[in-house]
Amino acid sequence: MRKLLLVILLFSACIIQGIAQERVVTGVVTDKATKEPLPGVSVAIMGSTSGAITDIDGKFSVKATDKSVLIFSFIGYTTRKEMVDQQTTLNIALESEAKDIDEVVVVGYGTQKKSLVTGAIAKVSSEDLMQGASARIDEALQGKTAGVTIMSNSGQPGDLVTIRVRGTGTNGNADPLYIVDGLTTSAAGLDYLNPSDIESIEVLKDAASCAIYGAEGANGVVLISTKSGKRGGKFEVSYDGYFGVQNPLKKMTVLNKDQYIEMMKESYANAGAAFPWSKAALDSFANTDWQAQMFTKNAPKLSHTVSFSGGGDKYSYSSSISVFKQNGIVAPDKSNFQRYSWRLNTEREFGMLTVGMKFNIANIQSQGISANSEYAASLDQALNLPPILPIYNWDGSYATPDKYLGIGMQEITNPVALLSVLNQATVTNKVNAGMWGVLDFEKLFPVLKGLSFKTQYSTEYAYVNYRTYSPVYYFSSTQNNPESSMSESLTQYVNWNFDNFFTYDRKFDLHHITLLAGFTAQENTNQDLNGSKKGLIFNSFTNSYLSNATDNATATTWGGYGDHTMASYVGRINYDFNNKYMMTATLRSDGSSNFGPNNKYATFPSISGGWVISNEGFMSQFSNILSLAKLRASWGQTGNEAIGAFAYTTTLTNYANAFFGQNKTQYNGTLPTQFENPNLKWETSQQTDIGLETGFYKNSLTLTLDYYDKRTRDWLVTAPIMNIAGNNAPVVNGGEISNKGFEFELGYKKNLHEVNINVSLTGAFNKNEVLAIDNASQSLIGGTGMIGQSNIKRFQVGQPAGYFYGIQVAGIFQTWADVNSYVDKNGNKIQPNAQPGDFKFVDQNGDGKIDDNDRINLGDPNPKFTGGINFNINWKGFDFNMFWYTALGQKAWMSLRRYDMTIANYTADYYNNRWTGAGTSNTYPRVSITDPNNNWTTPSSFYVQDASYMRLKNLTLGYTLPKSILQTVKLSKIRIYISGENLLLITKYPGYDPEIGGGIWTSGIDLGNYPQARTILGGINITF
Amino acid sequence: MKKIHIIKVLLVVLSFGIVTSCSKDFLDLTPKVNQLAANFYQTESDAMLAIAAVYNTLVVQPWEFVPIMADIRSDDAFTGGSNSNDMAQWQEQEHFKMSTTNAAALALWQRCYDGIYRANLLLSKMDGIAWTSAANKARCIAECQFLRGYFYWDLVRHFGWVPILTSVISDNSILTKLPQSTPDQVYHQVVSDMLAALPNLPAVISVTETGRVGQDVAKALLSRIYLYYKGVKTTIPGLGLSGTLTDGTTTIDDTWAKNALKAVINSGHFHLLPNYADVFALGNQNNAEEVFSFQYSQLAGSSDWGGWGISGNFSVIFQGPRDPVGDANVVPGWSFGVMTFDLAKEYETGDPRKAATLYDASVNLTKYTRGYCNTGYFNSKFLTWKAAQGTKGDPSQNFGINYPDIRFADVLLMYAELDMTGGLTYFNQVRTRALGSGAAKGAITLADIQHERRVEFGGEGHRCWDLMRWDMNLFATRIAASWSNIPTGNPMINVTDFTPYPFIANTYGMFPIPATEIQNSSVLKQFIPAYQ
Repeated sequence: MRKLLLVILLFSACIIQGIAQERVVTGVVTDKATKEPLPGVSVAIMGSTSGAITDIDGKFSVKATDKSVLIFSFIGYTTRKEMVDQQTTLNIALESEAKDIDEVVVVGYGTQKKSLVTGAIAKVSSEDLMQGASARIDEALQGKTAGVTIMSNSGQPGDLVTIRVRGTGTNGNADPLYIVDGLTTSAAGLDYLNPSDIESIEVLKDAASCAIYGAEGANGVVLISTKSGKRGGKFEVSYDGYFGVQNPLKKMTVLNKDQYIEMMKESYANAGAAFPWSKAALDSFANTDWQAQMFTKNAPKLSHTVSFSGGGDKYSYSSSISVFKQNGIVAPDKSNFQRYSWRLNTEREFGMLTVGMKFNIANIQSQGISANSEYAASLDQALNLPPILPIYNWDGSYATPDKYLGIGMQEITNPVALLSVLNQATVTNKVNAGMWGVLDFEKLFPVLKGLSFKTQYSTEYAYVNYRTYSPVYYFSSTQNNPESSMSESLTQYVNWNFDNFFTYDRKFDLHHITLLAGFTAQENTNQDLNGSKKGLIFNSFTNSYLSNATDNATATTWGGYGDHTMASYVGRINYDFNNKYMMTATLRSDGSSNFGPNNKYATFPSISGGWVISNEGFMSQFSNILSLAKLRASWGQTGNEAIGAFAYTTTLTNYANAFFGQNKTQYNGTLPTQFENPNLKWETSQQTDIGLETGFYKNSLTLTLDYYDKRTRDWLVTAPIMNIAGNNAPVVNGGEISNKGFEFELGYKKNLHEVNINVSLTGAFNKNEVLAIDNASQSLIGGTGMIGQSNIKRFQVGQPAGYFYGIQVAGIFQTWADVNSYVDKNGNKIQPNAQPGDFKFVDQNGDGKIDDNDRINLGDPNPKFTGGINFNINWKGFDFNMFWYTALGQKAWMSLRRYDMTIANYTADYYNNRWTGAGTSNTYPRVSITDPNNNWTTPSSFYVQDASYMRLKNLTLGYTLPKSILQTVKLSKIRIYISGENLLLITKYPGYDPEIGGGIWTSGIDLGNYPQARTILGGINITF
Repeated sequence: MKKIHIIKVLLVVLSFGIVTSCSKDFLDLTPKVNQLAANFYQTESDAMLAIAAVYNTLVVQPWEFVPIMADIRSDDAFTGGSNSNDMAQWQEQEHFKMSTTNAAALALWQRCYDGIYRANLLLSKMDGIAWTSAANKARCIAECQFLRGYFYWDLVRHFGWVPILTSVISDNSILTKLPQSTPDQVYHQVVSDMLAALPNLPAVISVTETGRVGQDVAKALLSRIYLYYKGVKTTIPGLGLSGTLTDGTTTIDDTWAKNALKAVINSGHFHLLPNYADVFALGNQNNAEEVFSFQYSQLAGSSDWGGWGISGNFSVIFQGPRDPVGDANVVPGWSFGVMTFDLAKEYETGDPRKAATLYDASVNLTKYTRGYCNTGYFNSKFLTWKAAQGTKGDPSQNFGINYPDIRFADVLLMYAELDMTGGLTYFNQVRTRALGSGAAKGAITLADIQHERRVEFGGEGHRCWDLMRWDMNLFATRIAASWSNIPTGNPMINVTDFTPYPFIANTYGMFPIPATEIQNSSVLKQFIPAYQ
């Protein structure tokens, strides 16, 4: 309520404007270069509160005296001061600032001129972000900046993306820290943001920039700022909207009925088993395209945003309301995402005090299927289910392999049936609000010039409701639900950050010093309440609430509470001399509730320096060519404390039930969850960065180069402990990894008469190597492929993080002679169960048998190179944008077929290239319903595929109506555009999509992942 | 003007005040949901909850239910399932071709060591607990020892050579260097634990404590362990057993076992029910014939596919028929552990134990889906009875059917096996209860005992261990027999499913040490020839 009052207060304050007098001075403000009138320019009278704003024709009118000095200021232009004297008409031409150099970037707890930045910070502005039609803001970042790898986890609407800043730095949570307008948030927590509300995103890449975030900064920091109004900006209302349709980029080619029957006959014959189906049965079988049952055509995607903004000389405001809707290209009724949001940012200056607030309300509704899984209602079901199974039995019930074909396929069953009973929805309501105040001490005591204090309190309240419903159904013995059931959960997240900082910013001649000192605290809490019950009185998802479930004996409830706190002291010194020599040093001391008394606090230092060579006198002779040359170097330490609460100590769990007594009284057996490690501390990342920023020919050509060497040690590792210990391993600090890389950003801008060309190229190479793992085997294994394939990823000293770990296939045995000659040193057959047509596996350790000890590095799921090419061209009102993204050198583990199901379908690739006799194939083994040689069960190089790709992410053609037309309709801007997303995918990868993000144990593993859609959309931007 | 100055100064002071007002308590959080271990193990009720957690590891055997796995390895049951790859970790056991990565072997290994850890942990906390009586403390110690002994017994009969831990060790650098003990040393540990527990266990278990162990259980189980030890000492010479089952003081031999069994028989705590089928009737659980039963209840409403929170009898869903139609008392199951034709043939005409053991789908059902290796015979004792199924949670995990680990009939037959003359009446008690007084025998041989044990305990998971201790050649012959004589011409029976898998002698019928455990250790290795 208090916040609401404040909003009203701020607005009413905006309306009251000071009025001066004397005589009227009028004039027109124009752009010096284009001669176009400039609307919205602030015309202030020095030393007074009065002033004016130029109108749509650039005209202004103020009352002033002869002695008045008018200050003309406008964002992006150099401010001009003009004495009135005797003049009654003042026509002013403003010169646009050399924007690229004096651009302001957001750094931790403040802003800095880009020219003075000594760390590696990438800024992505709103124009760059708005090229696509992304549901999520982090998705829109892909390819926009070097050294930030972004992979979609799946194409399911609203699904998370995986972001890695300068490689994978840990075996644990490798996500960067996200801070939205000062509030710490998680990757998942970004869902409420409307991409068109974003002013800019800064990615802090080097440790010197991140060290100000101390124990949370080890994996990079992403600072997201939402749009604010501009002081002196005119009131502006705009509408942005688009509508598009999405279609699958690709379908897998699997076998049709005839091909399938041919393959099955061969499979049974090869195993010496009797074919299970009679000729009559085969004739009666169907020819179902299961993928067609899952994919949909022309799934809609739309967005509408209405926003307004403006400001006076002492205040500004910005607000928007938006809706975004997207249906999935797979099972759209069960896979979709929509978001409604409203945002308000305002600020106002009251003498020495400036206060502001940011406020966002969002409602997010989403439904999803299993995106990348061999279980449940997923695409993988459609790939595995035999085409000979019809969708329905003759009586209209769903056909299943068990009953219709007489052969069970466990979790694989009719996906149409599974989708028909899948009902789940998540509704999130979020309020993100923050208030801040800045106190300018100079206005209190002039001697304190340059000293200010900022306090900011930011909160997030999120309520997440998740509801499921299952009707009564019976598909098979393993897929059935005898009583209708529902569950509902409500989770409440309350997060807050409280930042308090003193800043001292003074220039003494050519010396410029900025000091920052302060204190910050944060708390993250979550509380959940869950219930489930059966026996619903309504058979619909709409009515599945606990009160409608009547079977009291089935009611269950559970819930809990989690808490995390941090308190930190932060200090920073920035110094520069004459814009030539710069130095920054930071120090942060963190205390975290995630650590025990032995290691509650840690300190993170950093230092960096820069030298603008081009500002040196001796460089002036090259100034026509070289407009900027800046060399910078940095070093720093950051931490990672993302291990969950109380990992250092031992808590108890009480799931281990036992029943005693004739009446079977339940005793909730209690035991510790794990072994404790009171000495647990955060992992520490140390990074050195050397960068060179150059600009040529008045910065029409720019090139930035960065080299970094990042080492993360003291990983938080749940190191494998032997099972004989009897409980879970403690979390220990025990690993070290190195990421070294090189990044470049090349930009080129050229105006050729009326044609503006703007091309940018970003690229990054990263080399990742595990340096130490503190256990006997010096390795960690994990990750699962298709059912039964375990530990297919490995961290090992001297190797890249999480490489694919399996057995090398050396082709296929073509003849019995090949099989019989593959022997160990004693002459025994290495693969005694093999026959021609089976894989020949490499016996790496030469012990005469094939087992887990023969596993090697089969490929790295991390790209070696990522890059983006962005090409913009404008001509008159037309604008054209093309954006390519590429990730090269990574591998994916593609295991789509449930090889444990003898009758699972195959891909056409398998059919066309399988081994059927000597010389027929060296890639796909013979088909068989048995697998004595473990051709398929062995986690082998057979599953590892080249996942390099290049994607045409976006192609947009727009047209902005000329001002002459607009003036007649009293509008300031109309732009219409058509855009295509994901139009082209160039890859050798045979699956749906090579882009498979995820955690360190899941990324790059394809189990029939939900692919990204190809979208064609049309949109319009109108500014009133 | 002065007022403004005061306000200014106040503002400055306030802004500093905000910065410094941070409390240390802010960072010292204690969990609100889970207790800290440091605050537990203080009262008798804490001890009760801790001992329940030890029992839990004995009873909850989610994907490695020892009785089913043992029957699958015997001539009594086939793995079954939906297809030849379903539960490969069981199929491998059936084929005597276990990979060192077999998931069931790992799960069994892990469960036993989890139980040992929980027992060791509670033993280490005994002195910190405020006991109300010395007897309560002694009993709690005894239960920990007994259960620890049980876990080592499960380990030694499956794996043979295993490391012994009698205290909590969390330092992996010690664990990775902990060598395997020989089977004899492990048996020594089993017997030491159980003999130490015996005098301090209650002589009588009250009706509120059914399911906890008393002296009768320890006596009967030690006798079973002795019979097994005595047998495999000669049938599996590779184990290198010395022949003496002892804790160093007491030697368990024929005399000891006979005395122990006799004591149980004469305790008056147990008797055979008149009607065999009643022993497994749902309404008759924890009857006078059950010496020790694993207690399962549907009441907890488990729905944990990870397996650890399960507290119903999860083995039941495995053993039911697929898509059954025609018997309203039966709900669908997964058709594992299907009983063999060979077992069906073992019953004498008119033996009521056949119908109480084998649920004949061709008789009881009008329609069902044929699983892999379908014989039409399902385990009636642990069938997916609708009446036993809970509705709370995931119904498939919540069958409230106990598993009787030791029945009084077993005590009687063990005695008879040790003393065929003195135990004749006991033998006849078991036999005539089923077949009537006319079936009583005047004298018995080992073959009689072998037959009687098979039909009496069909589907209860004892057959494999019995065969192994009697004669490994018999074991091999019986396995081969179970694959033969498959009926033809029945559409529900797919003859090609029954490709014989012979017993492979150098497996000893036992399990490999889990590969991951060997990889993580610097000393563990495979002793059983088949897995080397």
